[in-house]
Amino acid sequence: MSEAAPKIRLRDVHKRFGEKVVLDGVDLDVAAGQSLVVIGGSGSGKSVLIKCIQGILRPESGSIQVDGEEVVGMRGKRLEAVNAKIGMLFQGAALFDSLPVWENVAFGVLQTTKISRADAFDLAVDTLAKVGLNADVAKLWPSELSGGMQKRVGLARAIATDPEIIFFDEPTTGLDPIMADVINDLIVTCVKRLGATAVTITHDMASARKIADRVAMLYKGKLVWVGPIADIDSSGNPYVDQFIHGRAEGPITMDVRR
Amino acid sequence: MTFLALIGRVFLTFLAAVGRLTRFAMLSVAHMVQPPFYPRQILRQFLDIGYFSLPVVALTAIFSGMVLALQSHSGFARFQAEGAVAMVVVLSITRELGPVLAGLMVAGRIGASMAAEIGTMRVTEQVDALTTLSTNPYKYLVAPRVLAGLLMMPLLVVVADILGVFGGYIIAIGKLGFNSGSYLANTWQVLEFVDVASGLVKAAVFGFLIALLGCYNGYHSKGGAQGVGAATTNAVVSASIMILIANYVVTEIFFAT
Repeated sequence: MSEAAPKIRLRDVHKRFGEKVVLDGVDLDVAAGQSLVVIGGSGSGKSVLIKCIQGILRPESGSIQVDGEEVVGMRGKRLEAVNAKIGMLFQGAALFDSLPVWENVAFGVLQTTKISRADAFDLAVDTLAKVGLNADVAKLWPSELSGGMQKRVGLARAIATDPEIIFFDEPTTGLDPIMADVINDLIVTCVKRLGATAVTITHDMASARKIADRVAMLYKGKLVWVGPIADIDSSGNPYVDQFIHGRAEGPITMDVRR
Repeated sequence: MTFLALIGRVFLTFLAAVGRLTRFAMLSVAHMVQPPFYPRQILRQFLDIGYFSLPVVALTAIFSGMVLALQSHSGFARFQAEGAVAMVVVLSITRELGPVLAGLMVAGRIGASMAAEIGTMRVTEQVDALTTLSTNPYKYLVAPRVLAGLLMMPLLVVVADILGVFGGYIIAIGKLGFNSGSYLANTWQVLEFVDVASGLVKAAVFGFLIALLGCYNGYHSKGGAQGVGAATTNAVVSASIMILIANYVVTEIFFAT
């Protein structure tokens, strides 16, 4: 019997903006139910990678499959159907300013089902409870929330549709260490509860160690190492070693003008 | 050679921008007529454009009508043709000043706000968030605004026409000593359906352009606060220029003999 097809499959994906090559032949498989963390420095192409998988950006060449369906070039209803399987927590939460918290959380459900607004409100309150927020928050506006609370509401929005795949874009960036750990715990709990496939991009190693089953390291648009989180300290890969220890010296160079 | 290359590059950039705007307009119109529709979004835009623009449009119209009566009276007095004041006021307001001034005021108010709101949503990834939540940003953000612009501007211009003529009437009766009955009779006598209709067609065209350019500039804004600021400025400037160009085109269609 053949091995189960991966939930997400990328083959030779290339993406550039003008002269700048952002993804340079990325091959990656994410198995169903797995939590993959993509690490890499700023500007290494991590965010572009997940935007390509969601069809927000279109790669110049290569193949991206979600559940065996080719996403590259997909548009309209078919792309919306693929995105209906996906939840996403954005780096800055990306909550809709013009909607109260509960409508942010229930937005995906209101768009994809014929649920009444009263039931959507109840669902939003239940989902907020799962991320440790009480019902009082539901009627607030996003601008009234702290950064940590916005991240939690963003997480609630990401899981409200019971997605099969969840993307986390730098979930702990800009948070204090305690709130970052709270968010990490919530991510682990929510992903396990849903049985979802998770792809997280981060440069926070504490977060990666807590969330990941597997880790992929992206550098200058290429995956330089992919392996289980347990192997990361003994990877023998100079890029990974430099990154996880946060050393300025090593093969990873920062383009700094002097 | 370098100079020619520069001209060529500018021309190609211009053509590319026209192409992008045309595609944006076609997509917006297509999404405006295809379900799903977002009634709450449409209603919000109707209120924002139609209702909350009323004070600024009303004040602009009424004072323009008053100034028009004063100016035309002072000018026509040189030829003993003061009787033409009612005609000048009503034709100027309905054909030109009502739609153009309302259009320019709404471009400043609504075009800027659309570009700023959508631009902020773009740079804070809210537009991407819509896509990930299976919602087409054109349908959710652009189509309701363009539809509201198209339908609300004519209503605003009806108000502007009435108040503009009323402004002229106040000055004519209160300050210039005209007889109320004969001023109104002159106004009605000279006014034809095409005068009002051409103004309303202009208003619909202006409303479409204001909303389209506000959404287009916001949707394509880049960077951060500076990008949103630039988008807002571009939205107002491009809409104002397009209003003046479209005004000539529609006038040519209606009144060129």
